[in-house]
Formats: sequence, C-alpha cells, structure tokens
Amino acid sequence: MQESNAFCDKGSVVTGTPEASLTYGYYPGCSAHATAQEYDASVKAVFGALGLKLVEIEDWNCCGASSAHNLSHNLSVGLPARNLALIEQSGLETVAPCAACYNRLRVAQEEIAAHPDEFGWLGEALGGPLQGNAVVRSPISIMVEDVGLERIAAHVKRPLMGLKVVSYYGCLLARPRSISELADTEHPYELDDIMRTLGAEPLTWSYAVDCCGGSLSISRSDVARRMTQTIVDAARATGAHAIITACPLCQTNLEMRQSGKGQAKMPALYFTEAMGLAFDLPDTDKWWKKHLVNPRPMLSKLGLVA
Amino acid sequence: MSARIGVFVCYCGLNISSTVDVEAVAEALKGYPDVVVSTTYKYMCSDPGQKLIGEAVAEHHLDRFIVAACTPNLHLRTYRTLGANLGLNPFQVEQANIREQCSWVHQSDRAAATAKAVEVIKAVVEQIRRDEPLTPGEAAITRRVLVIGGGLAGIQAALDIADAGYAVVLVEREPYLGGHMRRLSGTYLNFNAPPGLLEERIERVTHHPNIQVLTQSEVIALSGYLGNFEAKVIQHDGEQEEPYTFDAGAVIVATGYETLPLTRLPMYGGGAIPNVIDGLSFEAMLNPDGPTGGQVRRPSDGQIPQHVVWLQCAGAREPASTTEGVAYCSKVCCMTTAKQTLQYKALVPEGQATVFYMDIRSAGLGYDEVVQRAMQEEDVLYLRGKVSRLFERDGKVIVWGADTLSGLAVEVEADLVVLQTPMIPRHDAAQVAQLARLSQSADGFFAEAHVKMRPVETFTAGVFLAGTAQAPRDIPETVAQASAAASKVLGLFALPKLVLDPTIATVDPAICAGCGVCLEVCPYDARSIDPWAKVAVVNPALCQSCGACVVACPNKASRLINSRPDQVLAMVDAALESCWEGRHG
Amino acid sequence: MAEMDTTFLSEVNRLSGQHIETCYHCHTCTAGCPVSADMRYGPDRVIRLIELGEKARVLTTPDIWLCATCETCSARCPNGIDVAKVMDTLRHLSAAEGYRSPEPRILLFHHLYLAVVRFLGRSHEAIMLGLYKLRSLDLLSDMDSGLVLVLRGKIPILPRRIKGVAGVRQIFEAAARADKLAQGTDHARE
Repeated sequence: MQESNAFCDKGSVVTGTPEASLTYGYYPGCSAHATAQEYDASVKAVFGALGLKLVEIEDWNCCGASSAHNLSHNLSVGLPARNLALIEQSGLETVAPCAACYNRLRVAQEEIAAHPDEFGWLGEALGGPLQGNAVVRSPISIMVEDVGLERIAAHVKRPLMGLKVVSYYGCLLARPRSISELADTEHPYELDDIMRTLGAEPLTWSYAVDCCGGSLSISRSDVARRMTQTIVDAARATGAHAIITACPLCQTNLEMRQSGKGQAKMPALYFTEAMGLAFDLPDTDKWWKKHLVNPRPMLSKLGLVA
Repeated sequence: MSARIGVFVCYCGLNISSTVDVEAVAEALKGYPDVVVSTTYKYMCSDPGQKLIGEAVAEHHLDRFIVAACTPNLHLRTYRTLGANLGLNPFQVEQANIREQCSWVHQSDRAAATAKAVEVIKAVVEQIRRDEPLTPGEAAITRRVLVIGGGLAGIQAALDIADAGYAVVLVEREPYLGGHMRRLSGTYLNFNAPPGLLEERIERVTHHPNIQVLTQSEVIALSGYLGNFEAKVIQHDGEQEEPYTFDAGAVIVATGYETLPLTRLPMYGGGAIPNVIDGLSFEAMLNPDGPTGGQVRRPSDGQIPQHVVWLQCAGAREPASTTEGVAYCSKVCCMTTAKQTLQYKALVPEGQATVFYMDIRSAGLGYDEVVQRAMQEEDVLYLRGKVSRLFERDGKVIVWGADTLSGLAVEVEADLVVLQTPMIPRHDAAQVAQLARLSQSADGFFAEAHVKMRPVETFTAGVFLAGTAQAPRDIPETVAQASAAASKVLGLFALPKLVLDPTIATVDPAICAGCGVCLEVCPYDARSIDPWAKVAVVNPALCQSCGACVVACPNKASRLINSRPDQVLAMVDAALESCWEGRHG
Repeated sequence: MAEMDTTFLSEVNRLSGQHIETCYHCHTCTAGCPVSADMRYGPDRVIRLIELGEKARVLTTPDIWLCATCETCSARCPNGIDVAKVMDTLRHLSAAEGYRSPEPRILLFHHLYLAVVRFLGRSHEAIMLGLYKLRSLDLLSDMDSGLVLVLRGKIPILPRRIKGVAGVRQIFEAAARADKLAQGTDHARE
C-alpha cells in the first residue's frame, strides 16, 4: 500500500523560475492529499511553470464541504470563516482549486457580509472579527485573467493535437451566480479557451454546468450513478476523448460512477493536468497513475504520451 | 366697497355630517365679518342645492360665495359655473375642503373636527374677501395634429382626425407604414391576415387629402404648448437636408414596442439555437409575404417541424429572477400562442403542438373559446409549468419543463421551439419621452395621466398616448385607444379658442430683477425672461399655479393671482386665531 | 387531510431568509432539478406543502435529503426564491427536531463527515468511510472502486490533526449554540 507522502506536505512552498513575480495563497482542501492528489500536484506544477508562487495557508481546516450546510447553517459559515481569517492574516489572494471549497469560502464570506448581526458569535469563536477582505480565487480565473491565454500559449511545448474534449465545470463553480467567476454561468467558455490555447479541440455540449451528484456519491450511489451516466453519455455523444474538469468531487464521481458496460470508460482530466501535459512538465506520468480511469491509453493513441 | 359673502356648508350626506357638526359650523360663521348668509344643505352640488345658492345670491345680493364641502378637485368647476350663471365673477367663488381634509381624517374627534372646519372656512373667507374678479385668458389653437408613429395606433388616430376635417402630419421612422402588425400572420378571433386588414387603412392614410405622411422620418424637436406646438422633422431619404418645421395644436405619441431579445434568455439558448425562435419570428414565417412563403419550417434544415413547443412567459413575470426578464405580464401572449397553435395545426394536421404555460390570460369576449378550441378540438397539449432550460441534442431541441398538475418533471423533444417573449418599451423610449415631455413608468412604458380615469392623456397638456407605447395590448384595444386619443384632439380642435385659467402666477415687473431663478424651478417650462424688459414673464397656457416660483423668488416679485401673499397671510391668521386665545375644545 | 400548521411557513421563511409565499408554482425548479426523478414530490411541491403547513410530511420526505444542492432551482426561479437555501433549512429543522430521516444513510454520511472534521480539523476518508460502513451495515458496496482508490494511494491511512483543532471545536460548539438560538429548539440532534 502506497503512502502518498510526496503530495501531503504541509506548508509546501512551490517556487517557479527566478523571475517569479506573483504569489498566491494556497488553500488545498481535504481532497488535495487524498482523492485529488493529481489535481494538487498538477496545480502546483503548472503554477510553478508559469512563475507563480504558492504559499499554503497555515493550519487550514476543512471548509465543511456539503455536510456542514446540509446539517447546520451556522456551521456551514463558521468552518470556512476560520479559513477566511487565516487568509486575511496571510494578506495573500488565495487560490482554492477545489470547487466545493471555493464555493463554501465565497458563500460564507457573502453571508457574513450580508448578515453581520447573525454571525456576531463568530468573532468570539475566531478570536476577533473578520475584516471581510479575503480574496478567494478559482484557478480557472487566475489562468484566464491573471496569466492570460497568450502567456499560456507561450509555454505550450507539446500542443494537444487531436485531443477532443468537453469542458465540465459542475454546479459549484457556476452557482450561486453572485460568487461565480465565470463570465457566463449558463454557457461558460473559460475552460474551452484554455483547452484551445493548449491545442486541443473543445467540443460544444449542453451539460457544462449540470450537477454530477457528487454529494450523494457515497450515500445514494444509485442516484449519483444515473446523474454521472447522463453526463458521460452526453460527452461520449460529442465524440470527446475526455472530460475536462476543475472539481475533485466531480472528477472522482465521473470516473468512479460511470458504467463501463460495453465500451471503454471516459477519463476525466483536471484542466491543470492537460496544461501540464501541454507544457511537457516532467511529472505527468505520476498524475495518470492516480486516475481511476487511466487516461494513458487514450493519450498514447493520440500520440500525446510515449 | 366691502364684500357680500355667502357661506354654504354641505352635509355631503353622512360624509361630513357624521363627524362635523354642520349646523354648528354654519352658525359659527354667521356674523363673521362680511358673511351675509351662512346656511347648510344635504348635497350642495345637487340641483336643489344649487338652487338654494341661487336664491340666496339673489335675496342677499351676494357678490361672492364659498361652498364648504368636498375637495375643490371635484366640484370647484361646478360652483364656478353656477356663479357665472348667476351673474357673478366665477373667480370669486371658492370651495373650502372640510371633507377630505377634515371630516374624513378626524373621525374619532367630533369636537375638534368641527372646530377645525370652522377655522378652515374662516380662512377661505379671508381669501375670498380679497379675491379680485378675473377674466380667463385666451389662446389660439393650431388645428393640426402631429402623430408620431405610423403603426396601427398612429394610422387609426390619423384617420379619425383627418376624417373630421383637420390636418394631420404622420411621422414614421421606417420606410413603410403599418409597424409590427404588418408582420403578423393572423389574428385570434378572426383569422384574416392582418396585412389585409391594414392595407385598406394604409391606402386611405396615404391618399387622404388631410394627411401628410412622412416616412423614413424622425421628430427631432418639439417645443411650445397645448394648441401651439412647434415640431421639427427630419427625413432620412437623403433628399431633404433641412428639417421640416411646422405648427401643431396637439401631439399623439404612438411609437409602439419591441420584443425582449433572446440574448436576455441564456437558459433558453440565448438566441444561439437556430430552431428556437420568438413569437414574432413565427408570425413572420407564417405570413404569406414572409421568408418561407407562409409555410412553417425549421430554420436549421428547412424541414417541416412535426413537434412544435411554445413557451409562454419567456422572460415575463419575473420580478426577482437572476435572468434578465421583465416583471410584468405582457397580456397578449396567451392568446397569440393559442392562435399560433391553431395556425400550425391547420398547416401540419398530423403535427404535435405543446404549450408550457403558467396561467391562461384570455380576458375578452370569445377569447377563452379560442384557447379551448386549441385544447379540445386540435389536441394541443397544454402543460402547466415553466421551462427550466433548452438545449440541442441530435438535431432536436430538448425542453426541460414540468407539469404541476401531475407533479412530474417533463422532458420534451421538439423540432421547433417558439418563445413567447413580452413586449418591451422601445430602446429609444427615453429619448422620445424627453422629446415629447412624457414620464415613463418603472417598466419604461410611457405614463398616462391617471391609470384609471385618464388613460390616453399625459401630464403634458396636448400630448396624448395611443397603442403599445403605453402598455402591452392587442389590436382591438389599440384601435380603441387610438380613437380615444383622437377624440381628445378633436375635442380640443372643436373649441373656438383655448380658454386659459387666470389664477396663475404673475410677475410684478417693478420688483423683478430678472435673476432667472424662477425659470429653473418651474416644472412646466412656463416662464421666460423677456429679452427687452429683462423681467420674467409667465406663459398663461402652461402655468399650472403650483407656486414654486413664488417660493423661489428672492424679491417676492412672483405671486399667484387670487392667492397673493396678503391673502395667504390673512388665511393663516384666521386659521390660527384660536391659538392666540388659548386652546379650545 | 392537510395539517395546516400555519406557523411552519413563517418559521421556514425566517430561518431561510426567503419569501416562499411569492412562489406562483411555475415548477421551473422541478423542471430543472436533476434529482427530481428520484424525489417523491419535487421542489415545487415541497414548497407548496410548506405553504399548506404540512410540517411533518415535509420534514420526513426523502426529497430534502436527495437534494444535491446544485442550486439550479435558485438560479432559475423567476421570483428570486433561493429554493436550495429552503432545502437546507428543511434539513436543519428535520435533524434538529429529531425527525426520522427516510434516507438514514445520507444523514449518517453527513454526521460522520462532520464528526471526523471536528476530531481532526480536516476530513479523513479512511476513518469516515470505515465508520460509515460499520454503522450503515453497507459493507459490500463500492468494494471494487474502493479497492482501486486504495491501490492508487488515494485513501491515506494515517490521520493528521491540525494544530488549531481546538479552534475548530470551538466553532462547532458555538455554531450549535447559535443554531439552537435561531431555531428556538432544544431537541438534541440525532
């Protein structure tokens, strides 16, 4: 049994090239050292390659995911609030690659700002009130807005020619609209833009922001299976080779819950993995090994891996 | 010469008398300086009431009288007319409001209400004592009307006025007349193609000796006032360089509507799905002069659609949604949908028509029967539920809706989807409003003077509204409203001259410094500075006696006729008399 | 027969911050809900039942637990009702007032997830899933994919506690107190 220490470092700092100019706080979320290790690794690798420094938020706690808001309104705000305080203290704009964490942190921030009286108890529990100025970003918007497609294009050494993909954002990155960084939450295009820049061919489909049922994956896997299958079937119908995603819950759910009856399963790649592959970064093989649906055969057939 | 004032206190049935002791009030006014007679009656505005006043005027040689009753807004004109008929100067007749501002609002304290009524009437006595006899002013009326907009409403109004013998200038932005109605393919209630209905009227308008039609034209300036407007129109046909200027006595605004653009409905495709069209586009398609020669076809491949789905309320009745719809109901879409389903079934009898609705608003004689015909005779499937979204799959449009009556979510595969979008104000409505001095409602439509009682007038005297520029409505309502606006204009033109209310603001030129502050505060643009005398002058046709200029004038040169400062101060003294003597009651 | 508990609507409105009575039952929420096929009523009819004061029926329906909080309903509601938030509120009320959940596994999952977070400051699949399997007696499902996850090294065995776990526990306690205050209920959680 493999202990995955290489990906579980606390307080890891990733430096890039000597001209590293921008530093972001890094909120990995609980899945980063568990079910989403390839996401964590690829985010760090890609940020590093682009000269962006990541400083992990010190002693962060679980954001509460779906369980907190399912059982307690105050807890669903309180758990992310502790992280918001830490982010404020760090003084850094912080990237939260996990869509659920991003969503919970931003929603909590909005709730506290909109109903300050309701959350007065937080001040005591946190040892001081929140300033309300923590900036939480998703990695998609950092790539598209801060880095820019031109700079990404400049790093592409191995264009992903022939790779057909559909971009899947899931529900947490798109809704509620007030916290989404996507320009159009019904028909988003950011991931398509990135994939096109990498040389891949993003295909049009209609399920980009539909829910995969991730929160029911363990407790009602039958429901999750149905929802996942709808998405995978739709992806397959376009002729895509893979689903590009930016949410650990979705990625795990899509790979775990799709039925393999009669056809090859469709891998779900994190968009940062695609970026790492296109940038020809060294550790990509380690990432493929982590998938439940191995993308290697598909990539090899397209001549994108040895 | 002192005045001889009559005071007539009205019971108004129980309206006043249940709170105010009317007899006591009349008694209290007897013996008040210059009050010669003070008496009561149950309904002063009635024939016997007016007869009573007439008799008193004759018997006591009154030269002015006050009726203490309801608000002057209701009956001042009645009593002034009575005064004139009795040989008095009508502007020496006043009405004291002891109902809306007394008995109705102080129902719990009879004694105090009665005392207040006395004070109010005494104040008005002080005013009337100092009232000067006045003669109404006059202004000429230009008997030509400017109609802005050559759609159905504009055409109807133009014909009504021209047929009565007056001149009409009809200005239309497009190169053709008829507006949106031209695009319609049928009407519910009778299915004759609207172009046919319109043709006859357009024919008459174009050849009418009294109507000057200016197409490809735009009104660029409108100044003046009721009976005396000046309009500038520019023609965009490249021939005429200079704007065409002319006078008009009235203006009818009939600029029509637009429909909600599909880009505001991203969950319904945002306008990017070829087989999702809006209601007007479906009309255009079925129009024999349209792109498909009157046949229903899918835009993507030209095939006949076997399953057409209509979505009512597409972007309407959304008061607080996160999409960009409008909050109001557009009124005509339910009927339009039913009509379109019948037209579709007539063209494609084996086709399936499905309608997603929230309510069916078929308020009109015979309207609901059209809808029932669709449901019962033509097997149009009506599903009660709003559609969550649309997307394409394998050449079809997938519709995710629901049916509340069964409680089930519903997925429908359509060949063609018709979004019944609401009417919205034109994108340039704000500019037209500024040009014609109109106000807009919260939704951007032009506002009428009173939503119930004055539906075709605006707050600018002489400017009237007709058609969908004011609110969503269908053809018969538009025609009716256009004729109503025309009748207002004809009523104006039938007068020999404009009679102007003389109780307006006036300027004492000896005191006026020509500073111009009053010009800025006047909401009716009724003032100007005389270029020679360098003092302010009042336009008697526009002044509404609001008094803002009186307040604003630093020199007290502006005053209201028959509400002069000496009058008002005397009224205040009378009203507060009891305060000097100590509290009563 | 409808229960007609008229206080239920105002309670839900207050706790969720919504105005449910502005719903005109267009059903857009149900139309777009990806889980509605598995629900008994669907979100729109749950809203209707709240209006009818059907407290027990609403708080014991599987619908509220099957809701995946994808917020499609909230995004599409023409009256701006945050239906997902109402669903959250119904879950809170159901759990806080001790109603038996018709989806005990879903409730169990959430409890255990949070219990682990309270203990460590972060979640930990191995402990959580282990406990879940034992308590739900759902021992055999997902054995295949579970094994694959373990083989890929995606289920770390050794738990790690954050330094500030005391602060996390404080938040749990303070939140529970705040919840009780808001709901005005003294019922212990399941």
